Amino acid sequence: MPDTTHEDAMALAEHCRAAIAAVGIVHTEAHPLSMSFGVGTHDGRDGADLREFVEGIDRKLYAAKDGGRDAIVA
Amino acid sequence: MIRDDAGEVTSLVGFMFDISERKAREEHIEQLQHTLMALSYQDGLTGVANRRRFDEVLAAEWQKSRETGAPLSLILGDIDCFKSYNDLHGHLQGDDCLKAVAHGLKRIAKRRAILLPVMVGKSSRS
Repeated sequence: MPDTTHEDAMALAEHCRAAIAAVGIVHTEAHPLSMSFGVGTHDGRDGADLREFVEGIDRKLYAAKDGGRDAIVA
Repeated sequence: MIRDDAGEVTSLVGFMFDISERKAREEHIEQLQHTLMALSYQDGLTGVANRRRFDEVLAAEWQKSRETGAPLSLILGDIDCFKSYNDLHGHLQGDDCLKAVAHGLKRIAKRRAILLPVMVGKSSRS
């Protein structure tokens, strides 16, 4: 998401999380279907590596899943 | 050009071809190429962008962000316990679930004009 600050991205991730809850897919009776998210922002500085950027967000995503799911980690 | 003995032009001979059919065929091929190109960047099940498109757009936006210093954000999402959903409800319903999720997220992405890609085959832990 170009020109998107971390706050904007967090708000958007929350919007996505809520949208999935609103779709209302039943996984089991006790648990509706949910999604977990990892969010990261690159500030355009030199020396940063794209691969590391993506892998860092991937780790956050899995931290969100390990932390109980239906969650967002930034 | 046909000339008489004195070298004067007496008549012009030309040929005309109707190329409208060829042109239509070329346009059709161009259209097919366009469609093929679009399909090669699309996920077959959900219709949203595929991994290939994601990689290309991300690389381009990364470069742009480095040049302009503008922030670039990325959200990675994963459906919780999707393997168990598939095991419980079957793969056909799993496909419907993916379509419904993509549909829900597509509305948000469209409103914000952001790219929504889907990545398939990534091993999911839970």
